[in-house]
Amino acid sequence: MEQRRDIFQAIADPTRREILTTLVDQPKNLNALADQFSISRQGVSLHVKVLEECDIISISKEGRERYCHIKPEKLLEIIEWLEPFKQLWRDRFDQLDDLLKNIK
Amino acid sequence: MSKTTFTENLEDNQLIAVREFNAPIEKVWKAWSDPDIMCQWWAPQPYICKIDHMDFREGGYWIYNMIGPEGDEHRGRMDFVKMKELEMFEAEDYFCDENGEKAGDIPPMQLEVTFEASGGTTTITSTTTFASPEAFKQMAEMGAAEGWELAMNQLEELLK
Repeated sequence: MEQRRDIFQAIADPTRREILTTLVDQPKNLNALADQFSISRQGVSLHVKVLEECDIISISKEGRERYCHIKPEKLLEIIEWLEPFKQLWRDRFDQLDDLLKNIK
Repeated sequence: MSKTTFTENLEDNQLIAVREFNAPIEKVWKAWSDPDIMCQWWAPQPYICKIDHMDFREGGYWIYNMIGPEGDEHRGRMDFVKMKELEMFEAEDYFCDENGEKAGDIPPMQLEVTFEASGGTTTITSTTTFASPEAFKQMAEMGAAEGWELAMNQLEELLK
């Protein structure tokens, strides 16, 4: 079965979300990243691979180290998904605000 | 005019909306607890809202019906799981049929609304928690005021 790789798959897993949170602060090499998590190094590598396939991080080689960088524009995609839902609450609260002015 | 501000908490699939209203807390609370007032502001235009059932208390539930310009009906239900008068309530929010049974494939959302009074104004904080990033995305797609009708048609297809 062909697996869908998109941003929502990237953030579906709690460990991957944690990895992303860590990478928002600064790029990290794989070893440093693995040290931060209680799961195995292999496990972390697998998650990193999924994140790379989802195109939310990139991996660059510097000497013998491999560094993981987040792609902020991809994170922004999620924020944009939320826009319609925000609009719903904006509309509601605007209507409520008008109503509160008119009722005694 | 006061504006609604938002915080996204992606780790917990949460969207938090905060708005200050120039009205005392009793009046703001009444706008939620009184179905006649509630239905005047809950539905995004051009939809109108009708209340099928409203029992605004802990353990009670609310069934609302959003009716589109073409007479199309879309019901939602909120189960009030926790409530402190003039302070907060927590509810489970989901699509339902006319009997109040869960409908569609979108998992319920958790809604927490808090009310805070300060010198004659009231601040409402609404926190929506989605079941998963996918549910988050589905709702984001559906919740659009602009895309509302389209989303509702899709929902209709799903419910067939």
